Amino acid sequence: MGLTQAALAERVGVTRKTVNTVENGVFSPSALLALKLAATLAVPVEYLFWVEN
Amino acid sequence: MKQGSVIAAADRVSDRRARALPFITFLFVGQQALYFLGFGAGTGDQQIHNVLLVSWAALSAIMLFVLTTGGAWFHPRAVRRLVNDEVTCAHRSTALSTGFVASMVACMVVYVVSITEVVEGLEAAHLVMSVGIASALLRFAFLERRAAQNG
Repeated sequence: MGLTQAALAERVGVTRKTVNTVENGVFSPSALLALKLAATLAVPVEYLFWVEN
Repeated sequence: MKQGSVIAAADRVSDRRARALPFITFLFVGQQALYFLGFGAGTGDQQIHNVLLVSWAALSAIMLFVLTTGGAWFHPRAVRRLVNDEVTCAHRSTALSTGFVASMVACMVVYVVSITEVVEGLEAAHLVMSVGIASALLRFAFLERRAAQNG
């Protein structure tokens, strides 16, 4: 997507730490944060988060 | 305060907290070590013992307050909200759970020891509180530092 963690964090309105933990799979975001991330990146939320079979 | 500057400030505060917590925990544990090694134990007869007890109680209360609120009390509300976002809230919740379990284990140890040895109520309370708060602080510090790394 070409965005740094800091840039994405600023667009979503969270700290870089939050973006970092979500990106590394350490933290599962709330539904609201997941939707915000997807909207900011202009992708469906299922593109970012899914359930492993 | 612009959004970008608020987030940058929140990042700085969050990083500073993650770096400071292990050091503060080390101080707290060190203070307890002095107490249990006899430099502060007792009934508070001497003035220095009273000072040690009061300082321990004050630091314990502050640390507990940090764990339950997330800290950053003297920053603007917008920064405080970001510093205590859902990741930090999850970390605090995990840390408090760890502290609770550690406190229960300490209670059990005191219970078993008290069967054969006399354990003063003050010392038992001191031990349980110290173990609980130190465990929670360490867990919180570890989680926050891990989240702050790998940027």
